[in-house]
Amino acid sequence: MAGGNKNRELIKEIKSGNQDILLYLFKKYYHDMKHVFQSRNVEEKDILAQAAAVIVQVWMEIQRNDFSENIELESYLLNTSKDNAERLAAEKKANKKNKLTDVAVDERTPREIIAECVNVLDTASRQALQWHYAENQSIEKVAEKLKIDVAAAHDFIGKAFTQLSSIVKIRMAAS
Amino acid sequence: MISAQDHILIERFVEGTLTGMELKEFQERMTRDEAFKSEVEFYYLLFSGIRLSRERELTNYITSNVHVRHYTPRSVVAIVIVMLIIIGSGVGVWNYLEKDSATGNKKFFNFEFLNKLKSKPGTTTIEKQKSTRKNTIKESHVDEEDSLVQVRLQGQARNDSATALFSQRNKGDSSEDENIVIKKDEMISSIELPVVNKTQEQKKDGGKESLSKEAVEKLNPGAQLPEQENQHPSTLQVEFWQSPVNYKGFKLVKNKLVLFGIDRPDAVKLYSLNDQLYMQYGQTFSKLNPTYDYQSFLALKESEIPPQLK
Repeated sequence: MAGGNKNRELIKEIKSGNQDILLYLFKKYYHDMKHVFQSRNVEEKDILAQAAAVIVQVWMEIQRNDFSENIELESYLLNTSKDNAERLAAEKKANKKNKLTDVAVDERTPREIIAECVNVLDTASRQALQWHYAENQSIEKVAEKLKIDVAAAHDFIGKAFTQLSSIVKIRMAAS
Repeated sequence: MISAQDHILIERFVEGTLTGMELKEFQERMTRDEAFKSEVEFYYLLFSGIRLSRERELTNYITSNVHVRHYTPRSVVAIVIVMLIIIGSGVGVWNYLEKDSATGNKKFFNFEFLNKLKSKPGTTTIEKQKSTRKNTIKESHVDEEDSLVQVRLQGQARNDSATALFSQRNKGDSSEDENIVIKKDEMISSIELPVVNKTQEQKKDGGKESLSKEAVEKLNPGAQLPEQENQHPSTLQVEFWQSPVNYKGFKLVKNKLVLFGIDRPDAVKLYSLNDQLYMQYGQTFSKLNPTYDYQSFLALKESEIPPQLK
């Protein structure tokens, strides 16, 4: 029962946006995830980043979706690791095939270009957009974090979004 | 241009919170209005990009805050070598400091346990006896050995009892071996004792025969009659020793007499009678014959004691 309680506490903390849980989960499950990646022939140099990506993916999925607090975190993480490892293997295979057929592949997707554009924004705008649109945090919570009132936070997010869309449109047009 | 109202609708659609009539109307509008559709797709990409940037940020947060050691085959080999050096030095120092009290040798990487495993059960006792015999000789006779004595195996009788002690010691496990302190033979005193020649006294008593012999010698020296030999010197260097196994016995080599198990050296008297050496210890008489090996005292019976000695 103690394990179940711990699991529920962790999910509660993830939902509240506590970033320290990321490090805790990584330290706790890294070796298990590493074995999953190793057993699926993921290169040693990529394992650390892949394991961190899995932790973040699970962390954001729990935040964005109304998951029950009874979900088993360990299984969730290991299954996600397995899926990601298999996806990586498939991508690797596809890349090899493309190289053989000499088909040019654009390395950056539009999603990645937008992600780069987000980093162009100032810290506050970037954080506001990420909290609201990536982590699904309410305007009230963002206002609390930015230490402004709700209406101001609403305006601030709207302006940041408009600014980002302008930057992305310019970047897309250029590429 | 998207209005604030449309912005909220698109946001809800992307998030998946748009339901019912609102969702139906939204989908119909997307079918009808191509510009609106492409705007919704753009919004979708923006939200997706924001999520990706956040994911990357958090991934960096993790990777920069945790330190994971990567062991390459080279580093593993290096670690193993360092560990072996440390363990080897430890074993070396341990063996070097541990001095074997029995032999005085430092057991430096002698891997004694392997010898124990290799040796067959039948031969073990013999080998041990040999080694303990050697050790005993080394210990107890360092001071007294002359060239002859070094060659021969000495102290057979003593060694038997000493071997028993060592055998007992060998029966114990190796850790006990380390703790056992082996007592050595100890010399109590060394004195020069006169040998009372009872033969001369006898001659004095019955001097007629000897006087006639002397006369014959003087009158006819060419007859080459055997010279009177003095078999035993007038004094003997006597060493009194004490054995940890309470051995009692003696060894007589030339002018040196080694006695074991004599508690009162002052009660010892030596007599020579008819080329035979006798020792009196208290009321007990024993014959002492020259010997390189240790022999037990053989007490004479009352009837065997020559009357001259009484």
